[in-house]
Amino acid sequence: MTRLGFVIDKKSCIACHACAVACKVENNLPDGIWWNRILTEGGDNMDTPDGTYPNLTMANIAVACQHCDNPACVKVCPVGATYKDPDTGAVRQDYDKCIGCRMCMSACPYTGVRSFNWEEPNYAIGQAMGDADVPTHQKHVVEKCTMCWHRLAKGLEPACVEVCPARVRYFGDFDDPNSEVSKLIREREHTKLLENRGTNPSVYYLV
Amino acid sequence: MSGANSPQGGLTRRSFLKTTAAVAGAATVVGGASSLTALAENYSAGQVEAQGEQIFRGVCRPNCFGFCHINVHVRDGRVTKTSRAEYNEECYNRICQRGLSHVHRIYDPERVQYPMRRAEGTERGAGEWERISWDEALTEIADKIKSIQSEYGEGSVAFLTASGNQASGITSAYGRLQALLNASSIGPCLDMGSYYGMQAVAGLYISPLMGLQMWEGNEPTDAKNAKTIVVWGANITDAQVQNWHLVKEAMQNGTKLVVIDPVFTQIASKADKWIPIRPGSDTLLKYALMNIVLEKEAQDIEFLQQHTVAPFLVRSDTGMFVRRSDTGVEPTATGEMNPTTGEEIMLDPYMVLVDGELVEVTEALTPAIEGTYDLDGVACRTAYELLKEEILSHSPEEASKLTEIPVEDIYELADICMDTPVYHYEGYGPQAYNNGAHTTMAGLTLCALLGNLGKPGASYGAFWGVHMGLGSTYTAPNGPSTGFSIPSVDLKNVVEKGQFAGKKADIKMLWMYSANPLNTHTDTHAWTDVIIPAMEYVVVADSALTDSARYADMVLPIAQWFELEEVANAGQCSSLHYNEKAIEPLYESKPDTQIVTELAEKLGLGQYFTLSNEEILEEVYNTELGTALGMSMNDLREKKQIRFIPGDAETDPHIAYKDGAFGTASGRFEFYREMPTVRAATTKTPTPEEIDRDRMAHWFPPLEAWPENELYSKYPLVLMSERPRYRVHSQWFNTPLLREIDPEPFVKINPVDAEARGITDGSYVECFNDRGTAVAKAVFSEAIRPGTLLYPKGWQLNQHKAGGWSLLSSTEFDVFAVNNNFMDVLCDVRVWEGSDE
Amino acid sequence: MSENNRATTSPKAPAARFGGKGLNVGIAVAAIVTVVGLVLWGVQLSGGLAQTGMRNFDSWGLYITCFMFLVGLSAGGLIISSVPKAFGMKGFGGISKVAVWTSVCCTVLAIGFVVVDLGQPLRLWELFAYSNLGSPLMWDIAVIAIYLILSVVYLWATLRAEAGKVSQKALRVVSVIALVCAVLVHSVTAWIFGLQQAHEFWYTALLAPWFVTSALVCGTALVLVVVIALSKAGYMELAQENVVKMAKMLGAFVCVDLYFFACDLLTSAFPGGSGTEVVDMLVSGPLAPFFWVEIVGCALAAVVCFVPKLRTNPLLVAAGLLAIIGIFCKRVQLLVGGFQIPNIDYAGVMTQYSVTDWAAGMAGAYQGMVYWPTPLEFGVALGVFGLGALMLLLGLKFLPLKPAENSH
Ligand SMILES: Nc1nc2c(c(=O)[nH]1)N[C@H]1C(S)=C(S)[C@@H](COP(=O)(O)OP(=O)(O)OC[C@H]3O[C@@H](n4cnc5c(=O)[nH]c(N)nc54)[C@H](O)[C@@H]3O)O[C@H]1N2
Ligand SMILES: Nc1nc2c(c(=O)[nH]1)N[C@H]1C(S)=C(S)[C@@H](COP(=O)(O)OP(=O)(O)OC[C@H]3O[C@@H](n4cnc5c(=O)[nH]c(N)nc54)[C@H](O)[C@@H]3O)O[C@H]1N2
Ligand code: SF4
Ligand code: SF4
Ligand code: SF4
Ligand code: SF4
Ligand code: SF4
Ligand SMILES: [Mo]
Repeated sequence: MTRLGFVIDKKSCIACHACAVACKVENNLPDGIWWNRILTEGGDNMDTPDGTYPNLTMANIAVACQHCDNPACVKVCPVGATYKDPDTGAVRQDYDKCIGCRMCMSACPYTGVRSFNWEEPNYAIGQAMGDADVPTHQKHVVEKCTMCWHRLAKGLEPACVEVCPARVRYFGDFDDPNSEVSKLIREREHTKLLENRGTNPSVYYLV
Repeated sequence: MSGANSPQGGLTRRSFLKTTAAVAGAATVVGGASSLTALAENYSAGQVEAQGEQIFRGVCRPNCFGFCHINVHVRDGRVTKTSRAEYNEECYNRICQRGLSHVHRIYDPERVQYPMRRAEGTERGAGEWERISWDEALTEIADKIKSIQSEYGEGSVAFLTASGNQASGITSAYGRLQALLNASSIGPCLDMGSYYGMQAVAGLYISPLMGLQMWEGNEPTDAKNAKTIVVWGANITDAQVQNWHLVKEAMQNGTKLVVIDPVFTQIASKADKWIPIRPGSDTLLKYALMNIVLEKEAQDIEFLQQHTVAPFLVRSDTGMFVRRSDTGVEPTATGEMNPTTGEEIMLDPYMVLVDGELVEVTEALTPAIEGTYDLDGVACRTAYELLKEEILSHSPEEASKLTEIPVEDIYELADICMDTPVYHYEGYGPQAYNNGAHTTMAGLTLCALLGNLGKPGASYGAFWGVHMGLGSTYTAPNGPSTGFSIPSVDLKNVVEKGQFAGKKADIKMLWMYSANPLNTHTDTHAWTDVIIPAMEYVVVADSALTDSARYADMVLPIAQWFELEEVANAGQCSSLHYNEKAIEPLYESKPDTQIVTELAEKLGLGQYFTLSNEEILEEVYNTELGTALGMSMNDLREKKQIRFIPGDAETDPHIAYKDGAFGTASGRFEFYREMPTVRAATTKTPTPEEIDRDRMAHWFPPLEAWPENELYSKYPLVLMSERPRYRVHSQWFNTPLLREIDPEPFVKINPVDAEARGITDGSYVECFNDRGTAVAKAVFSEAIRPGTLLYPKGWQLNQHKAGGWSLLSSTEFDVFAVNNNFMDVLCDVRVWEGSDE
Repeated sequence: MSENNRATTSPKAPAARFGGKGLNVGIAVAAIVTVVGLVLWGVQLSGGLAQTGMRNFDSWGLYITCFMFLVGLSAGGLIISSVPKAFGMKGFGGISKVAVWTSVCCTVLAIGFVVVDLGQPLRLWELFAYSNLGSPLMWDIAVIAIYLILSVVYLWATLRAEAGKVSQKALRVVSVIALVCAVLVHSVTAWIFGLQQAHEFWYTALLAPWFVTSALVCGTALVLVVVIALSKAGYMELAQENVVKMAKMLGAFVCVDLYFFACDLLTSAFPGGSGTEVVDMLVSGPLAPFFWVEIVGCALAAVVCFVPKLRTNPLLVAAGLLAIIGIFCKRVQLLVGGFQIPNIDYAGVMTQYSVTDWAAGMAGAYQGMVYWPTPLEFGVALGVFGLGALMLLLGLKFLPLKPAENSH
């Protein structure tokens, strides 16, 4: 079996947003849509620490769809518009099928990884960007990280993985014990997000 | 409008399903190989037909130090994305959030599209424009140049540039025009504290490949060889993002990271130890460290003897080193010529003490570094004694009080520094105060004291080089310009006095390119109220309507980076970078080279400008030297990136001051200088006290940002800036995609300071001092040192609710370093009472 | 079984007094409201759901609240009329047809609210083409459809039974099925929320039974209010003893419902973990107004129902309305409350699509209620209610829903 997923070294992520921007450009995301968000574990505002000067801590976490092994979203979708690809473990989305009921959004425990096109997709620069093979975005359907499906099809890594200037994002098959990602989670301490929700995410965070 | 060309974005239903199959296939292999590339063949033609996509090699070239190589993807003549291209050196592969957002920058709806003239009858800065043709624009500019030069002299026309685009074609074209016109140049005063400080004590390094390391240090790939990386006010994760993974990998290898910064930055949050420091006080801390070094007798005597001026004797009357001629022996002729002066080089060796006797330095194997000598009644002491005296006058306790770093931490840091090799990574924060040059001098001196220079893992400084060219005379066909060279920070004074370098100087026309001084230089009021009003004509060439462009009489639309062929010639990788032309210049924009050429025609200089953009590059790089060094245009087009310093980033990183060789007059590390010289001539002249001060690193308070300052009782907050993560200086200021992350100006404030002023998180506040105000959103952050404010710079005036950041800083400058004091600013903050309209 | 229940009120030739102009005006008004609602729905679809208060972090709103609420109302009516029949008890024969019709209307309304909430209503057919039978939403769609059909069949059977064309036994069978279905509808609707491990507030086994009791509360209350109103309007006559029976039932249901709430709060708060967040949010947080209206309203309703002296028709109507409002408030708490506590509450990029009050950042967005409907949503919702009113009134006008001479 194959279970593709990500390892992200939280210790060294610098919240630069390169992965988020790459995701946005590569996938031609409309204005206001971010599939991949960089969050600050610290104060109330982005890039602010927790504690009192000078006793402070701060960490960053990049959060997109966790491509759960047991995806809450897939179970609830009435029409199968969100589904798990049996060969890769990627949780996918069929824009043409989605009826826009947003069941999946309320079912997914990972706040904000699913996003709905609340209106006709808009582009500030008046033109499409990114890869030619990404599906056109549609009004009133739910979308999210595709694991850069169109890139996987070409034998490329997801865009966010390629661009990380801190080199903290890894991609590969967790079912293959020799893969880099498998090695990393064998060798280094890690956590997963909201493990108690039973979704068994395919994104591991090194801590 | 949206998406690509079909519902599945170029994939038919059927081929879409095929894609699925391909991914399934891909997936089975990914695991083993860490790369998916092996599967590319599954990507059958026709699925993509790559949509006729073409990929060009671009170089992203704001001066963020990156100069990243970028793939520019073009479909149907439009750029659809930019992605990371491979460097020749894998360790330098990188791209960042800005480099990834070029599509939005190129097609920014606010991009300047055609030549614009200030509407007749409107004030400068009023924002009323009239669209005109290129012909009209260039005819008008040529007429102005001619009339102004004939009325006020050739030097009255001045060109100003900064760091907007560090590339050869543009620099050469403007340089040639400027030289032919004998026009003046207004030079940048950016980061000159550390530049001046470094070259003062350590000299300059010019590589055999013609690279000049303006900010010298060991190549960042060498940091892993250190026991500890000590970061002195560098915001590496935001301002030199390409180096962060190198630091990270060093840490994973066991190297420790210490960060000295008033602000709890991202990199401070990753460090093994963060040492918060009072702004502007680094020199004191360095002296305290040296004090402890002496206390623990950890100084490297051998290094001091062999590679520094420690054993040189300093005359108490003149401050000069004792030479053989002081003993009555005339200098001897060497028969060699000095290429710059054209005079014969005379030999007059420095004298040192061996067993109490004066000996020529070349004859002394182990010269004394301590001792005095009576030279015919003139008391002389070794330079080391002078240094020691200075060091001993700064105790760790005194430093602790003023830097507000606990004494234990100073001792701990001293232990770290003494456990060499240590990679001291200096940023540009500490030098952005009026006393900033001395912190670099002190840092290098600390390292010289410990012998922590010139070896793997042992370094002090930053790392940034620029290529000096290959002997082409293109930029000065008839010799250099006879116009003035005025440091930008002094321009206001020149305009007010009408005098420079002892001559009448009427600067009446300003042409600004690759620069946005009204935004990025200190004291916007100096520009809007003094400099610009004194001009009869102001031209700005830019692709964005910047603050500076808004105050121009004529704005010329510039082709952006991927719209022409170029060679970027600077940055932290110390390489030449080749940039291919990916698309035609958008709208009516033109490359600077073409504008200069067309203007020259109108100025009657057409015969000098017969080359196309590409031919100019060939002219500059295809010299004999260029071909010999393998740096011709053909080499560049083929190799894309060519180092201009020797070595290899991974296997043989550049080591600064290797083997203790320094580019100073003595060839040694000159922690003591005989005769300090100013970095650039200005309207000021150094006083004897200032000359004395600059002979050696000294601690003296910043101009404003210090509690003892009178102003402090009125304006108790130090106003600091940070490198904006979503801009480089003012570039990308309007890029829609980045503005979604970072929509408006804000200022970070410690809740303690905010609450004392009734300010709430997220409300608009006004930062103010006697010079100006800036309104921004208050962001509560404990990362900010109480008593300071921090703003990300680079927002244009009209992006603020009111005011602007550079209105608060001053054009005061240190006479030696001639630098912009960006952080040496006091202010206060209050709730903003204004409203949006 | 031909007992006449019209004991207390004198036979007044109701048909003559009911209907006529007033009813026609009512129908016209309802029709206009419906049409306006349709137009607004058109606006919503063309301009996008961005015009609502819903966003990615609070992705459901007023429509789904109303959906929950109306499913509750619908089942209540059916339960009231079918329980007696199912168990062969003497019941409120006179009102059962009205109750069932009310149920039908509410069910249609509930479906209407799901439809106006959909982004792609034209793709509704996919529900049948690509049904994912594992989705609670699919279950709900199935049971609601069955339920709607059953209600209609039940209504028809009642009418036929009155005409002697269907045996009482058969009617009883239908009523049992309808009852089971009503309970199911409730549980299944509850599972749309209760099976979502994503939301601490929803993820509780109690949710299904609790939805049933809430349905009973507001269903009973609605029927009580409607029959009192209708008898006042002269549409039908009503035995006071039946009113009292209903009132007592209402009181009992309210108490059970409150008891479940108390159980749930205790279970949430007791471990002292994130559950306390839920309790705080309800008791003193942004949702407190809804919480306290529900608690106080329901408590008052129970008092009226249980104290014989207070059981006057006006007070009973008030009690019924209080109970209905209370349950509505509970729906609001449940829906908004589910989104009010984000699982991942770190600061990050926020855009106009993240959360309603996005400009205030993550912390600011959750300061008050994370969601509040826009006027458009109120308009569309009103339109859907208009449709319900229209159906109800048309039914009253054209269907033989009046108590038959010899009905229960
Ligand atoms: N994204 C982005 N990157 C950039 C740029 C940009 O505009 N945007 N600009 C580029 C340019 S031209 C430059 S020169 C570099 C500058 O790069 P850096 O030197 O790394 O950046 P700065 O933000 O000037 O300052 C660095 C740090 O100095 C700290 N600091 C301030 N005062 C003091 C002090 O008194 N003592 C100490 N120890 N620390 C202090 C600040 O808090 C800050 O964290 O960045 C380059 N990179
Ligand atoms: N408050 C504060 N201000 C600072 C600093 C600070 O620390 N604090 N740091 C300072 C430092 S270190 C620096 S280096 C300066 C940089 O100051 P600048 O060099 O002035 O800043 P930029 O915004 O990078 O570039 C100016 C303009 O060049 C334009 N440009 C880019 N490419 C081209 C081209 O090919 N042709 C033409 N004609 N124009 C082009 C860009 O569009 C941009 O508007 O900022 C300084 N400003
Ligand atoms: S993270 Fe959410 S959307 Fe992604 S697979 Fe898991 S449950 Fe589904
Ligand atoms: S919104 Fe679309 S993807 Fe999500 S559950 Fe509904 S139909 Fe499925
Ligand atoms: S895998 Fe692709 S779609 Fe998913 S977050 Fe990364 S870039 Fe975005
Ligand atoms: S690109 Fe890498 S370092 Fe930057 S935010 Fe993403 S994960 Fe973090
Ligand atoms: S902005 Fe600087 S770091 Fe980012 S891609 Fe461009 S050159 Fe590289
Ligand atoms: Mo700079």
